Amino acid sequence: MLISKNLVSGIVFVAMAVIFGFTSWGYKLGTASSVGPGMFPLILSGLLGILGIAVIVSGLGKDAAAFGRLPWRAIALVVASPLVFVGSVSFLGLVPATALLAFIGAFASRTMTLARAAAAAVGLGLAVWLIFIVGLGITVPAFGQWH
Amino acid sequence: MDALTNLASGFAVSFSLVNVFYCFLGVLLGTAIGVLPGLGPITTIALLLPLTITLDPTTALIMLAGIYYGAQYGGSTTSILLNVPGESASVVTAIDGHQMARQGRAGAALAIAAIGSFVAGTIATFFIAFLAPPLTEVALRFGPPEYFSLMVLGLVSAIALASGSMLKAVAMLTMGLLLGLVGRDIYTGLPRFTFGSTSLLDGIDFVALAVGIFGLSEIMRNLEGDTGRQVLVQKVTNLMPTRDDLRRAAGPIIRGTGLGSLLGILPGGGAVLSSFVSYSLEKRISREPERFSKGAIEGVAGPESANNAGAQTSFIPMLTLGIPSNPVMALMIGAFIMQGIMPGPNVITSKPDLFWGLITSMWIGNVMLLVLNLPLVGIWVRLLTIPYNVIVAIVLVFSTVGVYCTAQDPFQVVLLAGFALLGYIFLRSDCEPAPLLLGFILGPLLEEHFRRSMIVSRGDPMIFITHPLSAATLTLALIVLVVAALPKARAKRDEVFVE
Repeated sequence: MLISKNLVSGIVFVAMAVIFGFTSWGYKLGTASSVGPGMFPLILSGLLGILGIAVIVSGLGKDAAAFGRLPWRAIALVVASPLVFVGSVSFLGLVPATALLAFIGAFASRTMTLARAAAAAVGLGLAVWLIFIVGLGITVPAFGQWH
Repeated sequence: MDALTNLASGFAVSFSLVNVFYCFLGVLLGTAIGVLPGLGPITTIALLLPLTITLDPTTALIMLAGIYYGAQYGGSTTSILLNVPGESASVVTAIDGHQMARQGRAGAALAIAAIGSFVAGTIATFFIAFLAPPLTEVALRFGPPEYFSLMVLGLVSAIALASGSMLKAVAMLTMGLLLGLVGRDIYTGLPRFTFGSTSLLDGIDFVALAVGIFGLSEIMRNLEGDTGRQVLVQKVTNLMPTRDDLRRAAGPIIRGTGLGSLLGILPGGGAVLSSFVSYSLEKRISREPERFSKGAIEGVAGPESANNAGAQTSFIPMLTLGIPSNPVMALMIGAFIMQGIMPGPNVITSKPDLFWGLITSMWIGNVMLLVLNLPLVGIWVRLLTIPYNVIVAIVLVFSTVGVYCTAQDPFQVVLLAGFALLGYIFLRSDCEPAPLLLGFILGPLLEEHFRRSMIVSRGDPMIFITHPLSAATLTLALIVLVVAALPKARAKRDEVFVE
């Protein structure tokens, strides 16, 4: 079976519509003269659900464009590196966590070399220290609790 | 002359040392990031926005506006030298601009782009100064139903102008509206769609959404064909356009400025639409249309002036009505709100310094673009040769650290990663992300005006039709929707975008 672009995006739309629709069902809908917090999102969710189904249906034909192969390495590392940053920043501090983020993230490209990633990590760690800590005076510890 | 006194008081603000400095910094950084291949103005503004949060509101907005036209100019540089337009507004510039570069005339193309942008920017500044106050007067008389209908018109126009499937554009918009509703309900204080998380009480951080959907997902897409090939850029020599170039460019610059100034005000308009329309106009009225797409300087001068004029006048609906006409203005509204200012007709009277300071700073920014970019073109060319795998690391670091430092909340970084993934799925499915961002900013406003209208009318939805201005706006929205859905108009529109 062909996984089409429209099938994938349609499923995302329908899933969102279901999540938001069911959640807003639990809020007060209110009356016409005093619209409650649930009414507007419920209308939108209904609309999104219908649109999502229409998108899915429009992608059922044989000539629908295929979603295609995914660049797994890039997806995994672009998603993972911010998570690694946020998981380590309170322990490592802003500058080392940034270097770690840059180092891991750089390998999202298959052409990255170890030396270049290390250089990017040092350079960007320094840049973040200069811009965010020195320049903007953001009150996040530059170096964490480990030293 | 009232407008002139206003401009004078505005210049007094924007010419202060601090504001000139941050305007300069904005233009410089905007160009530097905007010139990097694959980074358009939306991504650039979202990436650099965290740098402005600690500034005073007027200075912050002046810097952001500087970032915007810097990014716009940087994008033109990239499309002329590399033929990889970083954003849709410079797609048309790439056609003839890159041909000129291949003929060794990159310098002249860059110079004409800068001169055209400067002329357009200067005229557009005056245009805003004269047009904004009367529009504000009108806007002050608008009630909730008028605002609701105007927003509907703005959203419908954005859909009509989005490329690709209209069905998907409407779905993206609806999803954006829903995402915008996350957080505490303004009337009842009820937390909505927060799923028990206290991080979501104030809603989804709009920097996380914008950077994730526009910046990080674009990285994944660019890494699809990941070969590590280093780009070759020729040295730019001889920046002086010839007398013949100037003679040929004069007409397109003036026409592009006029066109861009008008199209920028329209809902859904702005830089992109202006540059496309200007290119087709110049090609149509040219006595030698066959020169186009072979390096005609008119094909650079017209669209570049138009997109700069349009970029600037699209501030008008944002500043006077508080309604964004395109995703960049949606980001600007987000920035206003972050600074604690609700954009709308009250800004001009309650914060005249900010209003006129911002407008006059646009002219200063344009002067800076002209005097800065031509001498610095060597640096921009060097930036272009940064390998893409290093750009990946730079963008990742600035998006993540930026979101972390503005939101001061780790959870918004998790959202950033989620939006990157979601944005990539949409990119791969040919769903344009711009309507989603627009919907996200407008969601809460649309709901507020809807609910207020219903309170005013005691529950009668006819209020949107019985108020004449609201009715006229909704009719217009309906016409736009029907026309855009017509097969013939679709074909024509696709033709313009493909060209």
